[in-house]
Amino acid sequence: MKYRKIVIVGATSFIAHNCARLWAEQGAESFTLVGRDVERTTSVGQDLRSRSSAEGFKVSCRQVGDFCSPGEVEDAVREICGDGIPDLVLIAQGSSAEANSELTASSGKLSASLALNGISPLLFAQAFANRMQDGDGQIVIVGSVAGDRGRASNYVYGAGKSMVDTFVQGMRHYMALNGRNLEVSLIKPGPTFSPMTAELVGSMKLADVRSVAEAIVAGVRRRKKVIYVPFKWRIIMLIIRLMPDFIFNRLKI
Amino acid sequence: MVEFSSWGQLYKAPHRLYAPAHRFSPLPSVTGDPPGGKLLPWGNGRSYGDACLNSHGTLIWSAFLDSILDIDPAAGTVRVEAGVLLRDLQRLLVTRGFMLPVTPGTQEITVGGAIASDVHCKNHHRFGTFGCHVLSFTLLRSDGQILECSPDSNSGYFRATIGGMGLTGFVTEATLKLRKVSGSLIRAEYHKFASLDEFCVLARDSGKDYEHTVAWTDCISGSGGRGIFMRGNHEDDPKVRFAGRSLGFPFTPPVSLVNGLSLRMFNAVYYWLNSRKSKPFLINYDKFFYPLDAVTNWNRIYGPKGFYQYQCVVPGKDGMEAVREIQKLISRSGEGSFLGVLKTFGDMKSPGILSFPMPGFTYALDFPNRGTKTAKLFADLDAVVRNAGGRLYLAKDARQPRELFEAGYGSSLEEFARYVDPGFSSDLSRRLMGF
Ligand SMILES: Cc1cc2nc3c(=O)[nH]c(=O)nc-3n(C[C@H](O)[C@H](O)[C@H](O)COP(=O)(O)OP(=O)(O)OC[C@H]3O[C@@H](n4cnc5c(N)ncnc54)[C@H](O)[C@@H]3O)c2cc1C
Ligand SMILES: NC(=O)c1ccc[n+]([C@@H]2O[C@H](COP(=O)([O-])OP(=O)(O)OC[C@H]3O[C@@H](n4cnc5c(N)ncnc54)[C@H](OP(=O)(O)O)[C@@H]3O)[C@@H](O)[C@H]2O)c1
Repeated sequence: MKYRKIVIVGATSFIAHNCARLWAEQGAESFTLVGRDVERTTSVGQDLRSRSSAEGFKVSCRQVGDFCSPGEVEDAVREICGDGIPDLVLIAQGSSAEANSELTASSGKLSASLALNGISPLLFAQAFANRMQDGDGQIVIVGSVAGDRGRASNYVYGAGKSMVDTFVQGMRHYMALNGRNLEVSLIKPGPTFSPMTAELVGSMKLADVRSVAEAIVAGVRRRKKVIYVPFKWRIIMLIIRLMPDFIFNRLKI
Repeated sequence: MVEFSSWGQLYKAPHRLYAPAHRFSPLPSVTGDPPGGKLLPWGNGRSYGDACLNSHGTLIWSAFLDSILDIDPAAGTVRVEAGVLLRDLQRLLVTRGFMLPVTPGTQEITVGGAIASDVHCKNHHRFGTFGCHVLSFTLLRSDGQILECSPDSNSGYFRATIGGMGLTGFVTEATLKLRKVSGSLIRAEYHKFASLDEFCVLARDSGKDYEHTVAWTDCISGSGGRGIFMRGNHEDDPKVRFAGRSLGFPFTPPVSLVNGLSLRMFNAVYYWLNSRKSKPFLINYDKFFYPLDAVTNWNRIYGPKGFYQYQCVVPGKDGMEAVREIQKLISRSGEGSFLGVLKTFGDMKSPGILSFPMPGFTYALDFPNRGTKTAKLFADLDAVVRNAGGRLYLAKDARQPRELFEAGYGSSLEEFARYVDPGFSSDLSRRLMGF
């Protein structure tokens, strides 16, 4: 199946960019890229144009200055959908750049992290869903394995991600109850090589972004509900979720 | 700090790692707090020696600068970020009827690394080096300057950066000239030769009609000097396809320890297999140009002590005498080499000040690191290269003495030094250039 219109929110994300490349190579006809920096977002668009195999390929960029502002998000989504309802929206912004201890030491940072990783993707997801729910498109949000169980090392980031998880569950339930065909899915990457994790090179095994993107693209095509990438994280997180406190509380993870 | 080693895996050294998320990021401060040491670009670590290492300093890794910014079919050019792998670029270009005019024996390298080593291919006599096809690039300097370099602007930096081993700054993007191709196929022939004299005849006769020429020599078995001469051209009939099984490279090196026995077997089997393909056959470009890429991490077969590649160029017709001498020394030493890759360099001049090729013969050989025994052999080979007026390839070097380097690169060194970024340094530059 060829996508006619794909929207990527947080398009400069290395993971999202690599997914977009695959879609472009497979013949997707148009992209709308949403980012906070025009120059960088445009650069992603140029790359997609170079790789696209579609005739009459179109790519446009939409800058959003503050990803957590309901007004800005609503305006951007209205404008994007005004040009035609997308058949696929990937929402990828997020950051775990700051250590948990830094986030817990400052209420300002704590709130900003929850807003970026939790609220912002949901503002976008709901705004798109409101316009897409009559069709059979897809909304895909990048969550994280970090949202599966709160851990001392990253629970602020994890809390934002688990908020997304709960929200997606609810959206799916709503669509099912109301006989809607809009598919809302959640991606849960394990540690993957990207600018967000570059500092961990050497201290942790990071998955290759290309294979992560391939798994995401394949899962999205099959309209899967939750996509763990790489797959082994489904099992690892199952064990971690089921682990009783008396063991879990001794693990430094 | 992260441990990094180069392709030869001779040693590991701690480095600070900085991987800019995009090409607009500034370089980290050299005098920062705490000081990160001097900077050195890192592409994909395919240099064999210490050109891509900067022990205890900072590596600027281009991993995220992997966008293809523009393909202009009318002009036959491509604009790319410096971290794009030649593999990815070629795969795409070939579907558009283009290829890079020059790529080395592996395509697992970055555009930045190809510029910095001014790499060469099997078609040097036709297309020169990678740098001959670089139209322009952007260079980030440690003082914050952003220099647009081309033959017409900042031309000194342009010439110093091509072949400049990452010492003039960090290349963020480049515009390259492409060549047209009709498809991805090469029409190739493999001919065996029994002596270097036969090689010379084949090389001379093939230079005119064949774009790609290279020979694999066997330095261990037989009387020395035998080998396989491979030549080929791009298939220019776009209708030609081969159906079914790809006529690929028939044999990949055994993943076993490199010892006398396996070497002898490898060379014998390799020779036998390839000597039977003297009729032209079609082969996909990647199998023809980059046979070793089929074996991931083949460099690990040399074990924890790593290995060296010795690559020299010896100028002019007399160069062949030096090649003969080198073969004799190797065969006598018993420090066998898997394969010796022998080719002729033509006289096309690269813009690069420190560029390696010069008209003559280039010979590249891999040796397991056996400590002083290997060092002794290299000292003998160095003497031959020096007497022949040749030099060693910096992208492969990990050990040449400074006086050989200075003799080989001579007067270019002074000109080069003017463009070096004072905030940049490498293990190689400290070893050979004193900064
Ligand atoms: C199997 C194999 C076959 C090979 N065959 C050939 C061959 O046929 N011909 C040939 O010429 N070479 C050959 N090489 C050598 C290889 O092409 C060079 O070493 C090349 O420079 C490696 O590129 P890299 O991207 O891995 O860079 P690295 O090895 O990481 O770095 C190489 C140099 O480039 C500099 N550099 C990297 N990126 C940048 C940047 N963005 N800006 C400025 N400087 C930068 C580094 O500082 C370093 O000095 C071969 C290597 C292998 C492993
Ligand atoms: N890499 C992993 O190991 C991993 C694991 C699990 C989940 N994830 C999730 O995957 C997603 C993509 O991350 P990535 O690995 O691709 O890293 P990345 O390349 O660093 O991407 C991060 C993205 O988030 C955007 N962003 C960051 N802070 C922002 C802010 N304040 N406002 C608006 N946008 C902001 C970035 O935009 P700019 O380019 O403008 O900065 C960029 O598009 C994230 O949601 C991340 O949480 C990643």
